[in-house]
Amino acid sequence: MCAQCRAPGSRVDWYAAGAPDTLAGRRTARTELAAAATRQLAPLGLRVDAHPGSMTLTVRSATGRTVVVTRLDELAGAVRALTGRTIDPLREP
Amino acid sequence: MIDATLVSGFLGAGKTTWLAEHLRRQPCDLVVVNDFADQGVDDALLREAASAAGARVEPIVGGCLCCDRADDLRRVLHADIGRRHRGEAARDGRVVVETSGLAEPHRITRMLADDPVLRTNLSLRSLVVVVDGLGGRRLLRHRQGVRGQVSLADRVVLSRADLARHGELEELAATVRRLNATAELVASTLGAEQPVTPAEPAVADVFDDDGTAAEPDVRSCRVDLAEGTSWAEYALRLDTMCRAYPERLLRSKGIVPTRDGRLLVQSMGGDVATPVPAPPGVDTGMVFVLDRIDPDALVRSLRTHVPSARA
Repeated sequence: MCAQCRAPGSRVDWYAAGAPDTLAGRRTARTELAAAATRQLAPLGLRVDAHPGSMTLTVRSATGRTVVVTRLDELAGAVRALTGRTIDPLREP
Repeated sequence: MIDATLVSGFLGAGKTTWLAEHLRRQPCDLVVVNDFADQGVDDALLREAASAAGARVEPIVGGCLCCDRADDLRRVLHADIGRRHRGEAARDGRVVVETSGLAEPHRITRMLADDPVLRTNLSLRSLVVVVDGLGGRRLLRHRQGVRGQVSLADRVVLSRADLARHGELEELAATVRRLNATAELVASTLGAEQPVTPAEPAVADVFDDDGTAAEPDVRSCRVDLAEGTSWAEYALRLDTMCRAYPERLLRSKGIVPTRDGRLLVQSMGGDVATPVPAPPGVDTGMVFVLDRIDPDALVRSLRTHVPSARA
Protein backbone atom coordinates (compact mmCIF):
# COMPACT_ATOMS: atom_id res chain seq x y z
CA MET A 1 0.00 0.00 0.00
CA CYS A 2 1.50 3.32 -1.02
CA ALA A 3 1.10 6.64 0.76
CA GLN A 4 -1.02 8.07 -2.07
CA CYS A 5 -3.71 5.43 -1.90
CA ARG A 6 -6.23 4.88 0.83
CA ALA A 7 -6.33 1.43 2.36
CA PRO A 8 -8.83 -0.52 0.30
CA GLY A 9 -11.94 -1.28 2.26
CA SER A 10 -15.44 -2.38 1.52
CA ARG A 11 -18.05 0.37 1.37
CA VAL A 12 -20.99 -1.90 1.70
CA ASP A 13 -21.73 -4.74 4.10
CA TRP A 14 -21.49 -7.26 1.30
CA TYR A 15 -21.73 -10.25 3.62
CA ALA A 16 -25.13 -9.09 4.90
CA ALA A 17 -26.23 -8.36 1.32
CA GLY A 18 -25.77 -12.05 0.51
CA ALA A 19 -27.99 -13.19 3.38
CA PRO A 20 -31.81 -13.27 3.26
CA ASP A 21 -33.26 -9.86 4.06
CA THR A 22 -35.40 -10.99 6.99
CA LEU A 23 -34.82 -10.83 10.74
CA ALA A 24 -34.48 -14.61 10.95
CA GLY A 25 -32.17 -14.63 7.90
CA ARG A 26 -29.91 -11.96 9.35
CA ARG A 27 -29.74 -13.76 12.70
CA THR A 28 -28.92 -17.07 11.06
CA ALA A 29 -26.26 -15.42 8.88
CA ARG A 30 -24.67 -13.81 11.94
CA THR A 31 -24.66 -17.08 13.90
CA GLU A 32 -23.15 -18.96 10.95
CA LEU A 33 -20.51 -16.27 10.52
CA ALA A 34 -19.54 -16.59 14.18
CA ALA A 35 -19.27 -20.37 13.87
CA ALA A 36 -17.21 -20.20 10.66
CA ALA A 37 -14.94 -17.51 12.09
CA THR A 38 -14.35 -19.51 15.28
CA ARG A 39 -13.27 -22.50 13.16
CA GLN A 40 -11.00 -20.43 10.91
CA LEU A 41 -9.47 -18.39 13.75
CA ALA A 42 -8.96 -21.30 16.14
CA PRO A 43 -5.22 -21.57 15.28
CA LEU A 44 -4.82 -18.01 16.60
CA GLY A 45 -6.60 -18.88 19.87
CA LEU A 46 -9.61 -16.71 19.08
CA ARG A 47 -13.27 -17.40 19.54
CA VAL A 48 -16.17 -15.51 17.93
CA ASP A 49 -19.61 -15.44 19.53
CA ALA A 50 -22.95 -14.09 18.35
CA HIS A 51 -25.11 -13.23 21.30
CA PRO A 52 -28.88 -13.54 21.07
CA GLY A 53 -30.61 -10.18 21.05
CA SER A 54 -27.63 -8.32 19.62
CA MET A 55 -26.53 -7.88 16.01
CA THR A 56 -22.85 -7.71 16.99
CA LEU A 57 -20.14 -10.34 17.15
CA THR A 58 -17.68 -10.69 20.02
CA VAL A 59 -14.11 -11.72 19.20
CA ARG A 60 -12.39 -13.07 22.30
CA SER A 61 -8.77 -14.05 22.83
CA ALA A 62 -7.60 -16.94 25.02
CA THR A 63 -6.74 -14.43 27.76
CA GLY A 64 -10.20 -12.89 27.71
CA ARG A 65 -9.48 -9.70 25.76
CA THR A 66 -12.53 -8.82 23.69
CA VAL A 67 -13.33 -6.76 20.63
CA VAL A 68 -16.88 -6.20 19.43
CA VAL A 69 -17.51 -6.00 15.68
CA THR A 70 -20.63 -5.51 13.62
CA ARG A 71 -19.49 -6.47 10.11
CA LEU A 72 -17.45 -9.17 8.47
CA ASP A 73 -14.88 -6.68 7.21
CA GLU A 74 -14.19 -5.56 10.80
CA LEU A 75 -13.13 -9.06 11.83
CA ALA A 76 -9.65 -8.73 10.32
CA GLY A 77 -9.05 -5.54 12.33
CA ALA A 78 -10.20 -7.29 15.51
CA VAL A 79 -7.83 -10.21 14.86
CA ARG A 80 -4.95 -7.79 14.36
CA ALA A 81 -5.87 -5.86 17.52
CA LEU A 82 -6.03 -9.01 19.65
CA THR A 83 -3.09 -10.99 18.28
CA GLY A 84 -0.93 -8.50 16.41
CA ARG A 85 -1.01 -10.91 13.49
CA THR A 86 -2.67 -11.06 10.12
CA ILE A 87 -3.83 -14.27 8.52
CA ASP A 88 -2.09 -15.60 5.44
CA PRO A 89 -4.80 -17.77 3.90
CA LEU A 90 -2.36 -19.57 1.59
CA ARG A 91 0.26 -20.49 4.20
CA GLU A 92 -1.75 -21.41 7.27
CA PRO A 93 -2.18 -25.08 8.14
CA MET B 1 -19.22 -1.18 -43.56
CA ILE B 2 -19.60 -2.73 -40.12
CA ASP B 3 -19.19 -0.37 -37.18
CA ALA B 4 -17.11 -1.87 -34.38
CA THR B 5 -16.90 -0.80 -30.78
CA LEU B 6 -14.08 -2.13 -28.61
CA VAL B 7 -14.79 -2.23 -24.87
CA SER B 8 -11.76 -2.59 -22.64
CA GLY B 9 -10.80 -1.97 -19.02
CA PHE B 10 -9.01 -3.79 -16.22
CA LEU B 11 -10.38 -6.89 -14.47
CA GLY B 12 -13.49 -6.02 -12.50
CA ALA B 13 -13.76 -2.49 -13.87
CA GLY B 14 -17.42 -3.00 -14.77
CA LYS B 15 -17.19 -3.66 -18.52
CA THR B 16 -19.93 -6.29 -18.63
CA THR B 17 -22.35 -4.27 -16.49
CA TRP B 18 -21.82 -1.19 -18.66
CA LEU B 19 -22.10 -3.20 -21.86
CA ALA B 20 -25.36 -4.88 -20.81
CA GLU B 21 -26.96 -1.47 -20.33
CA HIS B 22 -25.31 -0.07 -23.46
CA LEU B 23 -26.82 -2.86 -25.57
CA ARG B 24 -30.29 -1.82 -24.40
CA ARG B 25 -29.65 1.67 -25.77
CA GLN B 26 -27.73 0.76 -28.91
CA PRO B 27 -28.64 -2.59 -30.47
CA CYS B 28 -26.00 -4.51 -32.40
CA ASP B 29 -25.67 -7.75 -34.35
CA LEU B 30 -22.75 -9.48 -32.69
CA VAL B 31 -21.12 -9.29 -29.27
CA VAL B 32 -17.72 -10.95 -28.88
CA VAL B 33 -16.96 -11.57 -25.20
CA ASN B 34 -13.47 -12.48 -24.10
CA ASP B 35 -12.60 -14.02 -20.71
CA PHE B 36 -9.04 -14.69 -19.64
CA ALA B 37 -10.18 -17.75 -17.68
CA ASP B 38 -10.93 -21.06 -19.38
CA GLN B 39 -14.54 -20.91 -18.29
CA GLY B 40 -16.26 -17.66 -19.12
CA VAL B 41 -18.90 -16.04 -16.94
CA ASP B 42 -19.42 -12.78 -18.81
CA ASP B 43 -20.99 -14.35 -21.89
CA ALA B 44 -23.68 -15.98 -19.75
CA LEU B 45 -24.30 -12.69 -17.93
CA LEU B 46 -24.57 -10.79 -21.22
CA ARG B 47 -26.76 -13.29 -23.02
CA GLU B 48 -30.07 -11.81 -21.84
CA ALA B 49 -29.17 -8.21 -22.73
CA ALA B 50 -27.68 -9.31 -26.06
CA SER B 51 -30.72 -11.36 -26.90
CA ALA B 52 -33.00 -8.37 -26.19
CA ALA B 53 -30.78 -6.28 -28.45
CA GLY B 54 -31.03 -8.92 -31.19
CA ALA B 55 -27.35 -9.78 -31.00
CA ARG B 56 -25.51 -13.09 -31.05
CA VAL B 57 -22.92 -13.66 -28.34
CA GLU B 58 -19.62 -15.28 -29.30
CA PRO B 59 -17.51 -16.18 -26.26
CA ILE B 60 -13.74 -16.46 -26.65
CA VAL B 61 -12.21 -17.85 -23.47
CA GLY B 62 -8.88 -19.07 -22.17
CA GLY B 63 -6.64 -16.11 -23.03
CA CYS B 64 -6.59 -12.54 -24.26
CA LEU B 65 -7.76 -11.33 -27.67
CA CYS B 66 -4.56 -9.36 -28.02
CA CYS B 67 -2.25 -12.38 -27.92
CA ASP B 68 -3.31 -16.00 -27.23
CA ARG B 69 -6.76 -15.66 -28.76
CA ALA B 70 -6.07 -13.10 -31.51
CA ASP B 71 -6.64 -15.72 -34.20
CA ASP B 72 -9.97 -16.66 -32.65
CA LEU B 73 -11.12 -13.03 -32.83
CA ARG B 74 -10.01 -12.83 -36.45
CA ARG B 75 -11.87 -16.05 -37.25
CA VAL B 76 -15.10 -14.88 -35.56
CA LEU B 77 -15.03 -11.52 -37.35
CA HIS B 78 -14.21 -13.11 -40.72
CA ALA B 79 -17.13 -15.52 -40.25
CA ASP B 80 -19.45 -12.61 -39.45
CA ILE B 81 -18.30 -10.71 -42.53
CA GLY B 82 -18.78 -13.86 -44.60
CA ARG B 83 -22.39 -14.20 -43.38
CA ARG B 84 -23.08 -10.63 -44.40
CA HIS B 85 -21.53 -11.12 -47.84
CA ARG B 86 -23.61 -14.25 -48.39
CA GLY B 87 -26.73 -12.27 -47.58
CA GLU B 88 -27.46 -14.13 -44.33
CA ALA B 89 -27.32 -10.86 -42.40
CA ALA B 90 -27.49 -7.16 -43.18
CA ARG B 91 -24.42 -5.90 -45.02
CA ASP B 92 -23.96 -3.04 -42.60
CA GLY B 93 -24.29 -3.48 -38.90
CA ARG B 94 -22.65 -3.13 -35.58
CA VAL B 95 -20.25 -5.36 -33.67
CA VAL B 96 -19.13 -4.96 -30.07
CA VAL B 97 -15.97 -6.65 -28.79
CA GLU B 98 -15.46 -6.85 -25.03
CA THR B 99 -11.85 -7.68 -24.21
CA SER B 100 -10.60 -9.45 -21.11
CA GLY B 101 -9.32 -7.19 -18.37
CA LEU B 102 -5.71 -8.01 -19.14
CA ALA B 103 -5.85 -7.31 -22.88
CA GLU B 104 -3.79 -4.59 -24.49
CA PRO B 105 -6.26 -2.83 -26.81
CA HIS B 106 -3.57 -1.31 -29.03
CA ARG B 107 -2.64 -4.79 -30.24
CA ILE B 108 -6.26 -5.48 -31.16
CA THR B 109 -6.66 -2.17 -33.00
CA ARG B 110 -3.45 -2.93 -34.88
CA MET B 111 -4.76 -6.36 -35.86
CA LEU B 112 -8.00 -4.79 -37.13
CA ALA B 113 -5.97 -2.34 -39.19
CA ASP B 114 -3.45 -4.87 -40.51
CA ASP B 115 -5.85 -7.61 -41.62
CA PRO B 116 -6.95 -6.78 -45.20
CA VAL B 117 -10.43 -8.33 -44.83
CA LEU B 118 -11.15 -6.63 -41.53
CA ARG B 119 -9.69 -3.35 -42.72
CA THR B 120 -11.97 -3.33 -45.75
CA ASN B 121 -15.19 -4.39 -44.04
CA LEU B 122 -14.96 -3.16 -40.49
CA SER B 123 -14.47 0.31 -39.09
CA LEU B 124 -13.45 0.80 -35.47
CA ARG B 125 -15.76 3.61 -34.38
CA SER B 126 -14.96 3.81 -30.71
CA LEU B 127 -12.60 2.40 -28.08
CA VAL B 128 -14.42 2.55 -24.77
CA VAL B 129 -12.36 1.96 -21.62
CA VAL B 130 -14.17 1.32 -18.36
CA VAL B 131 -12.32 2.35 -15.19
CA ASP B 132 -13.41 1.30 -11.70
CA GLY B 133 -14.71 4.49 -10.09
CA LEU B 134 -13.57 3.35 -6.64
CA GLY B 135 -10.23 1.59 -7.13
CA GLY B 136 -9.37 3.07 -10.52
CA ARG B 137 -6.98 5.69 -9.26
CA ARG B 138 -4.93 3.11 -7.38
CA LEU B 139 -4.77 0.96 -10.51
CA LEU B 140 -3.74 3.90 -12.68
CA ARG B 141 -0.93 4.76 -10.26
CA HIS B 142 0.40 1.24 -9.93
CA ARG B 143 -0.39 -0.59 -13.17
CA GLN B 144 1.16 0.50 -16.41
CA GLY B 145 -1.21 -1.74 -18.38
CA VAL B 146 -4.25 0.17 -17.10
CA ARG B 147 -2.63 3.48 -18.01
CA GLY B 148 -2.01 2.07 -21.48
CA GLN B 149 -5.69 1.20 -21.86
CA VAL B 150 -6.82 4.66 -20.73
CA SER B 151 -4.35 6.58 -22.85
CA LEU B 152 -5.78 4.99 -26.03
CA ALA B 153 -9.46 5.46 -25.26
CA ASP B 154 -11.95 7.53 -27.23
CA ARG B 155 -14.34 7.32 -24.31
CA VAL B 156 -13.61 6.62 -20.65
CA VAL B 157 -16.44 5.37 -18.42
CA LEU B 158 -15.95 5.72 -14.66
CA SER B 159 -18.06 2.94 -13.17
CA ARG B 160 -19.71 2.46 -9.76
CA ALA B 161 -20.43 6.16 -9.49
CA ASP B 162 -23.13 5.52 -6.89
CA LEU B 163 -20.57 4.19 -4.39
CA ALA B 164 -17.98 6.95 -4.85
CA ARG B 165 -17.31 9.41 -2.04
CA HIS B 166 -17.76 13.14 -2.56
CA GLY B 167 -15.19 14.42 -5.06
CA GLU B 168 -13.69 10.98 -5.66
CA LEU B 169 -14.94 10.58 -9.24
CA GLU B 170 -13.82 14.11 -10.12
CA GLU B 171 -10.30 13.37 -8.83
CA LEU B 172 -10.22 10.13 -10.81
CA ALA B 173 -11.44 12.02 -13.86
CA ALA B 174 -8.56 14.48 -13.42
CA THR B 175 -6.07 11.59 -13.31
CA VAL B 176 -7.62 10.13 -16.46
CA ARG B 177 -7.46 13.56 -18.12
CA ARG B 178 -3.71 13.74 -17.40
CA LEU B 179 -3.28 10.49 -19.30
CA ASN B 180 -5.69 11.22 -22.11
CA ALA B 181 -6.45 14.82 -22.99
CA THR B 182 -9.11 14.18 -25.59
CA ALA B 183 -11.25 11.25 -24.47
CA GLU B 184 -14.89 11.83 -23.61
CA LEU B 185 -15.41 11.26 -19.88
CA VAL B 186 -18.61 9.95 -18.30
CA ALA B 187 -19.55 8.41 -14.97
CA SER B 188 -21.76 5.35 -14.83
CA THR B 189 -24.02 3.68 -12.28
CA LEU B 190 -24.98 0.18 -13.41
CA GLY B 191 -24.51 1.36 -17.00
CA ALA B 192 -26.63 4.53 -16.65
CA GLU B 193 -24.36 7.39 -17.63
CA GLN B 194 -24.02 10.88 -16.20
CA PRO B 195 -21.53 13.68 -16.89
CA VAL B 196 -18.41 14.07 -14.76
CA THR B 197 -16.07 17.05 -14.63
CA PRO B 198 -12.38 16.58 -13.73
CA ALA B 199 -11.32 18.21 -10.45
CA GLU B 200 -9.53 21.55 -10.75
CA PRO B 201 -6.74 21.83 -9.82
CA ALA B 202 -5.92 18.16 -10.35
CA VAL B 203 -4.54 16.24 -7.38
CA ALA B 204 -1.02 15.02 -8.10
CA ASP B 205 -0.38 11.35 -8.83
CA VAL B 206 2.89 9.43 -8.83
CA PHE B 207 2.84 6.71 -11.45
CA ASP B 208 5.35 4.29 -10.00
CA ASP B 209 5.07 1.19 -12.20
CA ASP B 210 7.02 1.28 -15.43
CA GLY B 211 6.12 -2.30 -16.29
CA THR B 212 9.44 -3.75 -15.18
CA ALA B 213 9.04 -4.02 -11.40
CA ALA B 214 7.58 -7.49 -11.15
CA GLU B 215 7.22 -10.07 -13.84
CA PRO B 216 3.52 -10.96 -13.91
CA ASP B 217 2.60 -14.61 -13.77
CA VAL B 218 -1.12 -14.47 -14.39
CA ARG B 219 -3.04 -17.71 -14.22
CA SER B 220 -6.65 -18.63 -13.77
CA CYS B 221 -8.42 -21.48 -12.05
CA ARG B 222 -11.94 -22.61 -11.43
CA VAL B 223 -13.33 -23.97 -8.17
CA ASP B 224 -16.60 -25.90 -8.22
CA LEU B 225 -18.86 -25.29 -5.26
CA ALA B 226 -21.46 -27.82 -4.09
CA GLU B 227 -25.12 -26.90 -3.66
CA GLY B 228 -25.70 -25.62 -0.13
CA THR B 229 -22.28 -24.02 0.23
CA SER B 230 -22.17 -22.01 3.46
CA TRP B 231 -22.22 -18.31 2.59
CA ALA B 232 -20.51 -17.55 5.91
CA GLU B 233 -17.59 -19.91 5.24
CA TYR B 234 -17.09 -18.74 1.68
CA ALA B 235 -17.45 -15.02 2.47
CA LEU B 236 -15.00 -15.25 5.35
CA ARG B 237 -12.40 -17.01 3.20
CA LEU B 238 -12.88 -14.57 0.32
CA ASP B 239 -12.49 -11.61 2.69
CA THR B 240 -9.30 -13.11 4.15
CA MET B 241 -7.80 -13.73 0.71
CA CYS B 242 -8.72 -10.29 -0.64
CA ARG B 243 -7.09 -8.66 2.40
CA ALA B 244 -3.95 -10.76 2.29
CA TYR B 245 -3.38 -10.53 -1.48
CA PRO B 246 -5.12 -7.42 -2.88
CA GLU B 247 -2.48 -7.03 -5.61
CA ARG B 248 -2.33 -10.71 -6.56
CA LEU B 249 -5.89 -11.98 -6.35
CA LEU B 250 -6.80 -9.92 -9.38
CA ARG B 251 -10.33 -11.09 -9.85
CA SER B 252 -12.87 -13.64 -8.75
CA LYS B 253 -16.24 -14.04 -10.33
CA GLY B 254 -18.92 -16.69 -10.35
CA ILE B 255 -21.93 -18.24 -8.72
CA VAL B 256 -22.02 -19.43 -5.11
CA PRO B 257 -24.93 -21.87 -4.63
CA THR B 258 -25.85 -21.07 -1.03
CA ARG B 259 -28.63 -22.70 0.93
CA ASP B 260 -30.71 -19.54 0.46
CA GLY B 261 -30.19 -19.24 -3.28
CA ARG B 262 -27.55 -18.73 -5.96
CA LEU B 263 -25.46 -15.58 -5.56
CA LEU B 264 -23.37 -13.81 -8.20
CA VAL B 265 -20.20 -12.93 -6.26
CA GLN B 266 -17.34 -10.82 -7.62
CA SER B 267 -14.13 -9.41 -6.19
CA MET B 268 -11.68 -6.98 -7.75
CA GLY B 269 -8.34 -6.87 -5.96
CA GLY B 270 -9.09 -6.08 -2.33
CA ASP B 271 -12.66 -5.06 -3.00
CA VAL B 272 -15.71 -7.33 -2.94
CA ALA B 273 -18.82 -6.22 -4.83
CA THR B 274 -22.27 -6.52 -3.33
CA PRO B 275 -23.52 -10.01 -4.18
CA VAL B 276 -26.73 -10.19 -6.17
CA PRO B 277 -29.06 -13.07 -7.07
CA ALA B 278 -27.52 -14.99 -9.95
CA PRO B 279 -29.20 -14.94 -13.35
CA PRO B 280 -30.42 -18.31 -14.62
CA GLY B 281 -28.32 -20.34 -17.00
CA VAL B 282 -24.93 -19.72 -15.41
CA ASP B 283 -23.07 -22.72 -13.99
CA THR B 284 -22.16 -22.63 -10.31
CA GLY B 285 -18.52 -22.27 -9.31
CA MET B 286 -15.99 -19.49 -9.04
CA VAL B 287 -13.32 -18.43 -11.51
CA PHE B 288 -10.17 -16.84 -10.07
CA VAL B 289 -7.54 -14.80 -11.94
CA LEU B 290 -4.29 -14.84 -9.99
CA ASP B 291 -0.93 -13.12 -10.33
CA ARG B 292 2.01 -14.93 -8.72
CA ILE B 293 -0.27 -17.17 -6.65
CA ASP B 294 -0.20 -20.94 -7.01
CA PRO B 295 -3.75 -21.97 -8.01
CA ASP B 296 -3.32 -25.27 -6.13
CA ALA B 297 -2.65 -23.38 -2.90
CA LEU B 298 -5.81 -21.33 -3.37
CA VAL B 299 -7.93 -24.38 -4.14
CA ARG B 300 -6.45 -26.18 -1.12
CA SER B 301 -7.26 -23.22 1.12
CA LEU B 302 -10.87 -23.13 -0.10
CA ARG B 303 -11.29 -26.89 0.25
CA THR B 304 -9.95 -26.77 3.82
CA HIS B 305 -11.81 -23.75 5.09
CA VAL B 306 -15.03 -23.99 3.11
CA PRO B 307 -15.86 -27.66 3.79
CA SER B 308 -19.49 -27.15 2.84
CA ALA B 309 -18.38 -26.47 -0.76
CA ARG B 310 -17.09 -30.01 -1.22
CA ALA B 311 -19.40 -32.09 -3.36
